[in-house]
Amino acid sequence: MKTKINIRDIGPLLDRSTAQLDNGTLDKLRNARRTALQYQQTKQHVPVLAWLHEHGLIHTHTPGRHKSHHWGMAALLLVILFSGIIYWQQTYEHDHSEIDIAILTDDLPVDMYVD
Amino acid sequence: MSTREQLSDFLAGIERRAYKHAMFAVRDEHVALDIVQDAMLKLAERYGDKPAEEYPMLFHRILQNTILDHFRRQKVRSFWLSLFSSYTPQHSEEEFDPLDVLEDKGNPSQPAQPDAALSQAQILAVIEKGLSHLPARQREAFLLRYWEQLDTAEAAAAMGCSEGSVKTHCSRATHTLAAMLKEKGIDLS
Amino acid sequence: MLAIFRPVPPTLLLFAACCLPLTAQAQPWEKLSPPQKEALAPLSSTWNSLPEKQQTNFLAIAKHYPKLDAQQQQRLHSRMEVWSKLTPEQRQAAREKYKAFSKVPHEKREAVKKMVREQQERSAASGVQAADSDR
Repeated sequence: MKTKINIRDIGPLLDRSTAQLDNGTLDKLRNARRTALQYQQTKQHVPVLAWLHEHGLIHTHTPGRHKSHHWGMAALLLVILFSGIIYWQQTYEHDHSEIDIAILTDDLPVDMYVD
Repeated sequence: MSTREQLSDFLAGIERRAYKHAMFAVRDEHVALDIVQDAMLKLAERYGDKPAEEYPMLFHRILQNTILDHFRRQKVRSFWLSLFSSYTPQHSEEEFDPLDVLEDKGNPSQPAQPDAALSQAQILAVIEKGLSHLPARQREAFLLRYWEQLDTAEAAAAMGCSEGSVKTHCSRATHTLAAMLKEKGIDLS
Repeated sequence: MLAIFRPVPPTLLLFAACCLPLTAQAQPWEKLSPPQKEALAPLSSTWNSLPEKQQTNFLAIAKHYPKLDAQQQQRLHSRMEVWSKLTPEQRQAAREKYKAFSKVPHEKREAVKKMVREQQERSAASGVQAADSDR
């Protein structure tokens, strides 16, 4: 008597096999699930205007003029400093184009060199 | 129902099957667990706010990509290892060749008695071995349709291919599986 | 924007604004020359979102394009997008690995390449890699 099964039987058979997993594995799966849930991202609305107002960057009235003046200057200095750093970096940037071309036209695919 | 509960319920429901999916592909418990953990994290982090109906499709997509990443990294690692070994690249004991679909190492199968009906456990063992020997895309299509019960459109979305491709992979898988089962005295219809 | 820094003298702000163009050499796709566009064709849709430094790197690569033969040009094109999506650290690591590999004796290099090619062929045959032809 040959054993006969239907494709529809395969799912339930596999379900049986999952029911037979050992406790060690089940524990690890449960932990994996809990860890993942901690990282669940849900969209949050950041109250941007309120933040800006709190930090004195926008005004609805004029009191606190000096405080906002300092914030403005600090931001400005940061911009100048940051621009300077980027400019310096770009000026001293090495030209990688030769080796990049070599990698991109090599016999071996790129992901051989990427981990 | 809050999104957190929905995600929690989904993961709790799928975690064992996810582990089996990974095991069929990598045949290593430790690696399979890592892959499942990774896939769960990615789903939660990147798609934690999506509607719950999309979870199955998204999760299976992520799971398969994570498995592919594993194989790619393994390939790269063995490439660099061979660089520092002798002239002929040698296969280390730990190196698993996922393409070894024809050989059946270390698992001497008992010759099936043509007249005896097999027990459920025996049938299961044969099916699982057959599944793990299928080409990856065929196995994926087959399991998504017949185990995860996704329809063709959902399976296509999960696999990132056309519905026609899903059907092709599925029918090839069924054909291959049927042939493997027949060798062990099982008729698949 | 000026209203935010209302107390700050406008001249200082103007000076800061002038500093920025020196560093931000972002070139929109439309402004590239036809040879550059041909060399960088695979990046046409993502070009405008690339960081300036990456654009500079790719423009340097584009200069070499006319000197390549047809096979090299095709390989470059097929790998360009992947390259652009790596992190700077990954690209740097890849360059280090390539340099290390170049120092390996020719015979060993060829043996390794052959092994990789064979693995890829077996891979393609059994469908482990998600075949793009599927879609």
